[in-house]
Amino acid sequence: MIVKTPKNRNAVSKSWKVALVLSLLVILAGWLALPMSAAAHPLGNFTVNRYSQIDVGAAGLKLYYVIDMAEIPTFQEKDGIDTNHDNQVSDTEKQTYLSSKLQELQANFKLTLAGTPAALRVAQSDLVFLAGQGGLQTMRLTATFETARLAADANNLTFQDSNYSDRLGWKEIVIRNATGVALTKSSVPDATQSDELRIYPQDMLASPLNVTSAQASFKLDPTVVVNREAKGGAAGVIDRAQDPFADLIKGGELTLGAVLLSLLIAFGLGTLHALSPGHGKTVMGAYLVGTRGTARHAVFLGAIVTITHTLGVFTLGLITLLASQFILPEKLYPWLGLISGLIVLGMGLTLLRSRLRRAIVGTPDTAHAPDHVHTNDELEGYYDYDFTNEQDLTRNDPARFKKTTSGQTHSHDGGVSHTHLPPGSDGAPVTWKRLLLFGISAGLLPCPSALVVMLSSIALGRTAFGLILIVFFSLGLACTLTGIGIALVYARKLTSRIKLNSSSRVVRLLPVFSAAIVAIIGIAISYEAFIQTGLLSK
Amino acid sequence: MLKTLFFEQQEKDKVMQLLKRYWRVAVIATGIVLVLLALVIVTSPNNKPNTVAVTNPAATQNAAAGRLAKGSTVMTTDEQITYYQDKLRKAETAPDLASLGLSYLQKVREVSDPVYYTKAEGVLKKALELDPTNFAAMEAMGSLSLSRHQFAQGLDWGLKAQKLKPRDSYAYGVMNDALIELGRYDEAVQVLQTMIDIHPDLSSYSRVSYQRELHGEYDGAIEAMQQAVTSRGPAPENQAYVMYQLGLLYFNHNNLALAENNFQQSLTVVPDYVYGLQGLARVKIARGDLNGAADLYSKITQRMPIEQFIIEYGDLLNTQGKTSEANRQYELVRSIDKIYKENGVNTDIEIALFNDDHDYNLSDNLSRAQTEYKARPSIKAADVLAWTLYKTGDFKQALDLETQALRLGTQDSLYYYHAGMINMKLGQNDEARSYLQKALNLNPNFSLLYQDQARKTLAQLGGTAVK
Amino acid sequence: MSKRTLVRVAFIGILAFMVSTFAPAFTIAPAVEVQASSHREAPLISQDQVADATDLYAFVSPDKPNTVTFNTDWIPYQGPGGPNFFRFGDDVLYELHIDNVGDAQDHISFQFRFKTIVVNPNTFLYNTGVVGKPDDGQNNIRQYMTVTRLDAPSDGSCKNTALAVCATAKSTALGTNIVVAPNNVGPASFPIYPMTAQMAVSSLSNGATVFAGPRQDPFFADIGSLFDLLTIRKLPGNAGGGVNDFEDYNISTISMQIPINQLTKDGSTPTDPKSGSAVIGSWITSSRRTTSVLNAGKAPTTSGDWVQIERLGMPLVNEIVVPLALKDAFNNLKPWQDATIPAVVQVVTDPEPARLLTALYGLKVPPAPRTDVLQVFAQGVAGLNQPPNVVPSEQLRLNVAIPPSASPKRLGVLAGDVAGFPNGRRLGDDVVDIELQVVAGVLVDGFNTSPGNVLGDGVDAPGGTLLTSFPYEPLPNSSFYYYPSGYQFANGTPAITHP
Repeated sequence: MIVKTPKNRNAVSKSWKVALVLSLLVILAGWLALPMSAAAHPLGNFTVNRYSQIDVGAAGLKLYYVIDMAEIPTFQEKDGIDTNHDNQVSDTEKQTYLSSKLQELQANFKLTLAGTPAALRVAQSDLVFLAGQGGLQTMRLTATFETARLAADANNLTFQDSNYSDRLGWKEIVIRNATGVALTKSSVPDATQSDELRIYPQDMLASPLNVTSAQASFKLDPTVVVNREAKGGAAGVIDRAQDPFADLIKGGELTLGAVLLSLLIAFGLGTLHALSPGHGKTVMGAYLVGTRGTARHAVFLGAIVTITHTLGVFTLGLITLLASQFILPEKLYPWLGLISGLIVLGMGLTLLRSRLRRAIVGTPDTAHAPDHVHTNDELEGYYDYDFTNEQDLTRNDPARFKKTTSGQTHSHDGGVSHTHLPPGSDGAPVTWKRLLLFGISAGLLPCPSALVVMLSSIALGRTAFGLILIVFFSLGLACTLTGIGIALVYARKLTSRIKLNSSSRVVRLLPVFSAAIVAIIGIAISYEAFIQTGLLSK
Repeated sequence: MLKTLFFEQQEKDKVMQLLKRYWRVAVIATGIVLVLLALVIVTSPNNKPNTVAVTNPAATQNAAAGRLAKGSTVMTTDEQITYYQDKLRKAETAPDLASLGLSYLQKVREVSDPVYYTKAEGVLKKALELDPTNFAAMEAMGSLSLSRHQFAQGLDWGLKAQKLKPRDSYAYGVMNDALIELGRYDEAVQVLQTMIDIHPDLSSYSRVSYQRELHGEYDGAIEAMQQAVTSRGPAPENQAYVMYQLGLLYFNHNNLALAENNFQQSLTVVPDYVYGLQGLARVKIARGDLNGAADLYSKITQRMPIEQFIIEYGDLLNTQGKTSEANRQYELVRSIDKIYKENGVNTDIEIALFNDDHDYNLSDNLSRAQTEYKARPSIKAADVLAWTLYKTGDFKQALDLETQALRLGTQDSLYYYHAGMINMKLGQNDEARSYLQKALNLNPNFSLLYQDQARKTLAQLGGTAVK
Repeated sequence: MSKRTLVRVAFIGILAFMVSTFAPAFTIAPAVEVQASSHREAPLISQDQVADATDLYAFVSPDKPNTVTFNTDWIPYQGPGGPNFFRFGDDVLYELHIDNVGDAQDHISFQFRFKTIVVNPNTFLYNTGVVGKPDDGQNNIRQYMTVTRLDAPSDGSCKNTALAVCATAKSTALGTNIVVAPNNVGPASFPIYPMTAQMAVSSLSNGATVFAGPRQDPFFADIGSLFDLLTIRKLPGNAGGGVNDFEDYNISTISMQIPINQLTKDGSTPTDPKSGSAVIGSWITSSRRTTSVLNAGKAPTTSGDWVQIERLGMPLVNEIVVPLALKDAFNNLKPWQDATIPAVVQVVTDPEPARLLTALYGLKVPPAPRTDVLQVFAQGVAGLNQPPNVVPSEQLRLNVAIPPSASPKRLGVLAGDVAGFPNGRRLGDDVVDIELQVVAGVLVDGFNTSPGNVLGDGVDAPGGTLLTSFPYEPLPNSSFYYYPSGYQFANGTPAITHP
């Protein structure tokens, strides 16, 4: 036994309370981490899901076709793709497969225009494998087919998809008009219910969609102009059942009222969005509780998250726009997630280590300098920040600040009175730099709906509006994060007012636990990201 | 760079001062906004209705309703589902929710789409929330638990429902199934006797047949399954199921013609019924048409890639000498097993048997089979554990367990074969010979993997199978 | 151990703990279903279509007033298409029970058993050529019926026992190998179907006439809307506008026309409606055999006791009046048990539909206990069809001394036509409207007012044309007329259509 616990009744009962709070925190952290892990295919592991989207315009009819294959059929299908059986799908293999597969698919389409069969030609196609369950992958095949220009007398179409007719799965058809054509009647909706096979509604009062044929009547109308170009690629990253934010930008006329309302809604959605998992509030909460931060720290952290988030959306939006030819947003996300996760993990480990040392050794002073050195070693493998210059900003002292930025080590014993804790009952100090890093890591992963808004706004020629919306959205986000941070800080202050025995083991271990939580979250995010990037398989 | 961006003292001071002054305002504002938003969200009607619910216009709602109302037995499962879904969208009642749950469970029987399990659970839980005494929902929950291999839970649900409604045969069916899987055969027989005395029908006859089969009463099993076949059920799948089971009974006793006939019958009731196809494939194998069987299995495993079929397909490919293709199937089985594990599904003793048969991961398998046997000491679990012990070299204990597996007098070639091989290892050649003869006499085509081995071993022991 | 080392060890320890404890948790995805490998999962349905009773009609035959006609209808909602046409169950016992005393006992039971013959088992075709007579060789799948009459012994040894399982019941064979009318596959196969079917009408040894085979369902109701919480399409319902949910379907009937003196307790043909033997109660049941699960190695038993799995007397009782929780129990119940089960009695004296009418339409109904409803459903209406010293039980009661009406009214007794429902039941009686109005209280003084006495479902007559002589029920729908060319069933098989 290293730490002597005073046999003090009061302290013991208090330590139970703290333990309770801690266990709740752990549960919370675990709960928040859960939804991030890889799920099996939402429609079951042997479905083959099909989506046909027909855009009928004067320039011709465009069929956008998606197949989303769950793990087992993908495994079976891969036999025919990975022809040399090296478990890699090379570009050549992919192309070979696609060219024969597309023919096969086409053979099972029955498309007529004005009663006569219409010929389709392949305009574009792609094949992506994504990590699924059981170390297996899922497959997403997308292809665009086109017909020749519509004949002047064309006024109706029928479509039937008999691909994989005996396989389970979601079967959806959408018919929309394009420039030069007005739809008069259609047997199917003009918008997808599954976001092109990315979200499958889980309504327990609805069966999976099972539509394999469709008819529509239309008329040629040169006054109709439809511009939907940018949607396809960008929407790829959403994975939520509903996305009210993205809907904002799609609205019709922009009146002043509508703009104001949109801004308000964007702000509100931001505040709510912050409450969805993965937004760093656990990180922040755990951190602040552990580090005895102040309200100012909370505000600062919130601000950083906002700025990072906004910048992140802008940057990612731009990258996506530029690179959508080369990189799929789906692919970019895991990597961003990975960076995020590793930063959090690194922070958690550093904190854990230094706090553990304090908890065990008891006196922060003696351990301080080596701590910094080792921290640096420890983290080298993860990221490249220099922790030797770490600042303790619990003391808001310009002079000290300057002095320490020069790289000297410093002592901790002076400014403890600035915190609201009894002397010596110390977690790690709050440093602005750590806060900054946390803020960045929390905000680095921009939410997909923000990205969609940005890209759609660009596509619709409402870039400025989109950007403003995102700023408001981020502001809302920050408000919540800050609010939670402050709430935590004050909640902590309240509990600290109860006289804590500084040498109580629980009090000493509290920062260790919170650091552990941070690290666990880091592990969760990274693990998830590893899986998604395909670097790691289960 | 970051340092210069954010760590300039003046900047920091400014920010801090601003924040110092206004943070309270910020907190209050945030609070107000949050409350307002929460209010808006809570009060606003769900404006994303299922506006595009694409329904089958052919099935007229009204006729469907009428048929159902008169306790219909003819409405298709899809019609029932649509009917209850529409009705429940108007008003949620416990009986309708329970009925929809039952329809979903039937749907899984028909298309093996596990999505409907989740949906069923959702509506059944809702039904029990609305009416905690809704026995129909309890019974359906029991069925659902059994489907998920949660046999003890299934038994609990059955008991609960039975207490509420002692004259309902369904609950007894759930209890019977659970007790069988848990290895409590005597109780199962009692429960089943009550069930069939209350309501003789396809459900109870087919269960009687299975009990008789387990207890080695072959003729009785055939007779009861024939009664189940003539009783017919509301859904074609129910009929096809009992026809398939009847075919299997014949197949396991080497009556290929009648087996084939019944498998064919099941296919006339449900075209492309995968189990019927699998039965036909096994008949083809027995008749030496391996290529024909492989074609069928390829089709079957595409349509319904469940482990059992994939393993059988792999074994067939193996027999045909297509080792790498076979291994690919085995690899798929292991991946599916992983998916099960990741989803908390009790990966079955079937997988343990598969791993035994392919000498895969034996030590891990042993603990798996032991756990399974401890949890539910059924004869099947005993057989699998015995075979695992045989594979890991503990022949003495293997014999004990195989004796357990044969305790009901079940006539099963694979059990006999296991018993024969274990006895041989223990040097008890007479017993070994007798068991191997039994296995081959009962069904010379009992297993692609082992039937040749059985013949060979029997010859070594100086015995021959009576043809 | 130095403090430094201690720190390291502790650090690594905690790390290991964290990883081992929490990492697996992250891999558990939120409840995603996978199809578990199947253990032995037999179906768990309790519906038994083949044994399902739909309706019972009992009326004094208008063209032969010294006989009573019973139409007992089975196997509901038969879409008139192949290839699996509907048949009676060979292992089902169909029964028509008569209580000619009024003591809720089984006094006479007519038993109907069936046997299916497949002439050519190598084809799945229903018929292999043109069929004229029902037993033409080309009629590939045929059924034959056996009719037996059971009488309760005079010593009372079958009291409180179903005659089917009472060893001392007196058994008389009335007819064997009576051919069942074939399904109406279409004019190419059955060019003279009406005649072919009529040839299946047979005489029995006791002077009765019998017919078994498919018919269009004569029941009529807008039951889809009624079951939607008793919704009435066009309130109050006496102006038409309902949708008949039944006319597109066939049922299988077993109909029998029996001389009245074969039915009454004293063998008379009463002409005075007040005669003590004038009222006969009837109900139908179906049963299957139970069996002993294990036979300890002995030969299996094919003949366990008959278990009653379906019971029907008054129309719609099982569908509307009996609540869900009692439905199966009711099907197992025998009439002499009715009055002993409080829940069943309460269902009649305080019917749920009455409460619904109040809740939905603000209708004022007589207060419970409803002796008027009890009379109609369980005792017979006093002075009309109530036997002396009646023991309450749910039966369809007919006063055979009331002669058939020359101009039947669809509302029967409510319209002053005492030869109609609830005095027995004729094919044209609008039982839905009558029962709605009865439940609304029209038989109770002061409640025979609008809208209670004009309630209805808006469907007023059977969909098909009733025949003027036995078996009276309309000819069955034919798949030929029913399905458009190229129609496919849900299971993918094409409907049989002819050019």
